[in-house]
Amino acid sequence: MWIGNAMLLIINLPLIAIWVSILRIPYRHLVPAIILFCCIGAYAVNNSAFDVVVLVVAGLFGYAISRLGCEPTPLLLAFIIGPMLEENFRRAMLVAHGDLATFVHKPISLTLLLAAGALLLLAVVPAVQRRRAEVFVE
Amino acid sequence: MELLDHLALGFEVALTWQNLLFCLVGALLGTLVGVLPGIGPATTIAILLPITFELPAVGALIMLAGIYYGAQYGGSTTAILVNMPGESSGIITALDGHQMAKQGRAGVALAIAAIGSLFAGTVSTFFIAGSAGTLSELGLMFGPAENVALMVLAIVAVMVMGKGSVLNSLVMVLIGLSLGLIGTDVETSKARYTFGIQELRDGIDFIPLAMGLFGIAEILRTLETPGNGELVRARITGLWPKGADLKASALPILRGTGVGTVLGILPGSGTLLASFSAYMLEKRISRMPERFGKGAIEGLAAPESANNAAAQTSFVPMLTLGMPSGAVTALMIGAMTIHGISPGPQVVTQRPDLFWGVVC
Repeated sequence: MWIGNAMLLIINLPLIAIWVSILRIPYRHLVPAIILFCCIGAYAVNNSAFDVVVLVVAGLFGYAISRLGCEPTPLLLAFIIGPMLEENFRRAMLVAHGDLATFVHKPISLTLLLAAGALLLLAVVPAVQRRRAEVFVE
Repeated sequence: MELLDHLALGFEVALTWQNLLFCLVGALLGTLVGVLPGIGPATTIAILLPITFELPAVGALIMLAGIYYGAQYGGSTTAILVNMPGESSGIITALDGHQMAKQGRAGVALAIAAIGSLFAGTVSTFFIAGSAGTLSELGLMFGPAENVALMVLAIVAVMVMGKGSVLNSLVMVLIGLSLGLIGTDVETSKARYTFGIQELRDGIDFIPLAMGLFGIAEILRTLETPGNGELVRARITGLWPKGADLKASALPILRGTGVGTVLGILPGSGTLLASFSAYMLEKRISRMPERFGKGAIEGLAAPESANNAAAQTSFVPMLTLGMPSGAVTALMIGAMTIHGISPGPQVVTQRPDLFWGVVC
């Protein structure tokens, strides 16, 4: 990380002129190239044409949700965490013989769950909600 | 002197010529894509993800980190020159940075952004090196129940601290969880939600999903805005900031780094909260707050440093606990899994070369 940062400073300050000239390329000429690159990339991972279909559907879906004022980040995060969550939940249930109280009995787990609960509470408190709205407007 | 040993190992890994090359290529490509208006780091990583698959795991992660920094740097460049930030935290950079560019000080603005980022990067690298051991020890105490609680916290945090309304985010989380269910159940090997489609039996692959959601969707969205924004046409001269500029931005860089380092660790908050808090802090303690938004160098230096510090420390929960805290780290986790590394506290102890190589 650190080397990358140092490298950026050294290589990029002299190269600013080049980056600026990229900015002069009309955007509409770049779009087909980027989309083609995405399709090739998606296909190349598993050599599967189905992945290109997934890419296109996900792209259109992502565009639709952004027009509806939603962010794709929570979706992707949940998609990644979901299977991990399921696996760990099943294991926790095996260890505790199906007793849900195990999450409350372990101190670390209880603290984390309480923190999550507090965050959720904070989000629904009207005062915080207003402040949050202000922040994102700015 | 465990810390120095770790850093030495990291530099040993990172300074091999292959890894330096991966880092350089990553940084250049990241800047190249990130500099396109409206394209942020998450989009850049999503687009460039497939090119790292043929590499060895360490090289791939180093390259991805390079792409990330390059993209951020490219994003600041567009925020300053064109006033079209690629990601939400770039909005703060654009506030004063673009004004500086309009006043003919684009070169200084770009240089200060880079210097601030480098300083913040240096500090947060040491911070990560110092805290990683403790955090991963804590992580090793985690059993399945603790992991579940941590994941619940991460999901709640990204909902509450992220952009947009909590309700919208909740819907997104539910859709994400359901998409994750598609495929064959690992334990009973029953097909779930495949609707008889053969290809869905393996589940939806992470790469095309991420590329579509972040790459394609972002590009479609930028197509809505005609033209390339108002590019500052003047020649960029006077790249090196004067002594007075450096002096004026030294303290803001320091404060921004502090704010960013702390806020970056929080799951879900990402870089927007960091750069925004740093900006507000500078505005509040400034003797002339009215200069902000009109090209104040403090208003550029502090959020840029905070942004970079937070970007670095957001890797801490990812590398030590295996917990993604935002889009970028989620993409990184996906990349790690593809390379056969299961993210979690064991990464630090079992693959020290990977961990410290990426940190350095």
